[in-house]
Amino acid sequence: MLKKNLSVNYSMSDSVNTFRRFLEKKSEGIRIDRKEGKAFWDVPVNSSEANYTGFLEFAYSTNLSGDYVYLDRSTAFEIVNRLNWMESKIKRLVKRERIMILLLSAVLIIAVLGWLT
Amino acid sequence: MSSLRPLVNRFKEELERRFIGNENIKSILILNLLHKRSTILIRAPRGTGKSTLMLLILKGLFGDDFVVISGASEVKRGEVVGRLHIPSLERKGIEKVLWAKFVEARGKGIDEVNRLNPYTTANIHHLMQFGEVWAYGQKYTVEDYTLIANENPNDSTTFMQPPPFYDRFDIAVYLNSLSISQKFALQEFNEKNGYDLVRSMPQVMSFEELSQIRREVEETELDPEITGFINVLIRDFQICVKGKEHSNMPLPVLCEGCHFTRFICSRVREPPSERATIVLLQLAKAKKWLDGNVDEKDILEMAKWVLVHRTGLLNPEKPLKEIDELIEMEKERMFERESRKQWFILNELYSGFNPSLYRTAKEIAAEDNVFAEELFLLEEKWIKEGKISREETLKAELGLE
Repeated sequence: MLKKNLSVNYSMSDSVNTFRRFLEKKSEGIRIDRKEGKAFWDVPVNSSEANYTGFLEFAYSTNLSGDYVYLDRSTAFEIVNRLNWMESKIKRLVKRERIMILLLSAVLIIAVLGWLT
Repeated sequence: MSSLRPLVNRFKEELERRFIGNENIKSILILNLLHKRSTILIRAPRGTGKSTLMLLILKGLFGDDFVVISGASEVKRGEVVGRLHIPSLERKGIEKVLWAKFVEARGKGIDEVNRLNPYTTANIHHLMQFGEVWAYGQKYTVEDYTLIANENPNDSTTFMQPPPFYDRFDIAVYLNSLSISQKFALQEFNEKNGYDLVRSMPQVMSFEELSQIRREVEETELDPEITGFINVLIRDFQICVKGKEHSNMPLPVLCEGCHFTRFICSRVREPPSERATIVLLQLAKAKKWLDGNVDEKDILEMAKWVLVHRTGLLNPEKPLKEIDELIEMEKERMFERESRKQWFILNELYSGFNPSLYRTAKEIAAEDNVFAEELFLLEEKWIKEGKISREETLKAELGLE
């Protein structure tokens, strides 16, 4: 004889709903904007002293760093660009320094020759 | 607040007063007793108090209404399941079964479970699996119970019990021997109580009260974030993008060429069953019921005792240490997931396909196999809808197509 009160109160759609509730809960406080086929969203940042997200903020801070430093992609590129810029600047300065040394040497040689003659 | 919480706290106090040392396992033991058909496995070397702990718990919850069978003695089927009532058969020709006290008792203990013969193990396995036992063609349905077993894993004179049997135990706790200060404390207690720890243990609650507690715990609701955390945690121990579950190829050979070789999956030979998720959910509910809250840190602490006996490890020599390391890895992964805001991106993709978000999701998936798995499912849907081609999917990019 079949028991009439046997019922299954679970379905796949229930599980999908609870999964979506989890995702929505995790997404709370993040707003998304769509412009020209691209998506932009704001990520709330905790103002913890140990977690710097800006390159300059981190570099010039007097606080001790935490165990982890999280950088977003744009900050990472900012660092790369700054390093490249600094390298090219150093190359230029080294080149200028060599020219100055050559010029100074030439002036000294001329001065010495003038003094001797 | 439930009026029954003080009973649980008193039970904990009485247990702690008598069972000295091993502080790290007491909370999980108490929490695991708060759901229906609770099962606990205690593993320890000989003489470290595993039988005492088992008896203290059973006495504290059930008074004298508990039965302990010993794997070390010759246990017959009739003592564990049931035997035929001979007079009924002789006089009336009726096969009447006298069910064993072990089946009927609400508190069940198995001493030295790894010494049980395979036939007895099979009967107990069936009881734990289906909540029923069979004898002479008759069935006995077992209602709510608490089953505590113990074993010395280093005992050489034992049977190899099958992994599915151990999987039926909600948690496995490991005991350590006592430090000298703890030895002094135990001796002091024994002096005062006539060297009979178990007899001195009072029954703290009635079975009706325990049942009410278990009902209340069952009805406790968890936040979606906690449920999600548990599901992600267990999935991290289960997942293998190379199909470990249905492969005969052993680890680490299977992992060769895999993108995710630094992940937990590469150190798990046999993943935990879905029971791990169910038990962790029950423990989380119990924690919330008892303490008023449960957080992700609590879940990670509880996970150790849920996973240690149901996960086949690549380095099984020191299981507790290995599980500790894997859970430590898990903490970092969860932190990284939060930093990447990946669940938000997945939520957006569930709402609708967006090419730029999809590109970001693919980058994230390269760092997270659990996220990748969910993205694979979405990709299948988008392929059917004609939004993307199979060639541009993450699966194709990872060489898994």
